[in-house]
Amino acid sequence: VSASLSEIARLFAGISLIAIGGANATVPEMHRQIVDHLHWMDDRTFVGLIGVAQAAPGPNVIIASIIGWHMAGAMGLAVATLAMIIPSSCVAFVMGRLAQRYAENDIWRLTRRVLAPIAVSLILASGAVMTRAADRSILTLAVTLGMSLLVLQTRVNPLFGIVAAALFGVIAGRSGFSLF
Amino acid sequence: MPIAILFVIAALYERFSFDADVKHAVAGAAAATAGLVIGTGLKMMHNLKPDLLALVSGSAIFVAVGLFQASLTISLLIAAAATLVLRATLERYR
Repeated sequence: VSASLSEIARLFAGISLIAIGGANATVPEMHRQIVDHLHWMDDRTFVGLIGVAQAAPGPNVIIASIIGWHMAGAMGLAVATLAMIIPSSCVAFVMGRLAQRYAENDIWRLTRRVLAPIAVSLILASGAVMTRAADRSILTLAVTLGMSLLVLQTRVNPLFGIVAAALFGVIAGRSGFSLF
Repeated sequence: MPIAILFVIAALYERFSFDADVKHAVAGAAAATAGLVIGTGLKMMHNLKPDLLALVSGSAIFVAVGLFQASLTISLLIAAAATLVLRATLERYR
């Protein structure tokens, strides 16, 4: 399956506008559109790409970059990245201005109190969607659980956890345990 | 710079994605990534110290978007509008 640059631009610009909670919080919507509706890729490819994006250093927006790259090469990467950044930057700019002017306003204060837990819940929803797409065996489920605990309970750089999990995957695969 | 690194990683991934070891490595990393996102979300929720209404609105959008794969736009509009009205009402009668 291939996608045109304008399709990629439209998809990510739309997602960018509702990216409350950052790029991470939009993973369920990306999954819903890219895997379920547009059928651009299957579950495992989708989660694989997100895994690669998370393992790479840099902002969360690169989730969009790598999907664009997978669909349409270097131009796809550029289009997806810009489409993901520009609309939400404009919204953030306007909201920032409004926030300065109406900082004391009750409605503004209320809106922030309302949106913060929703944004965090969307990140948890991303975790749920990614778990369902990534975990096909007890072993990967254990990896997901272990990684959640590592992040919750320690201050270890999560990159180590991801690298360790990749190595674990190779060792498990070579020992005859399939992870998918 | 991150884009350059991403480029290299993505190119390598695409090039070797048929290799069994790479497939297993990616499967492991993807499972860990899911855990990273869940752990981060739980940590943020803990720091937020949500009250009952925040927990209810958060759970509702989690179920809609995370479990039932509902449209994010619609879920967001409903959850934000409903909680805003409820919270405003609560504060008025306090």
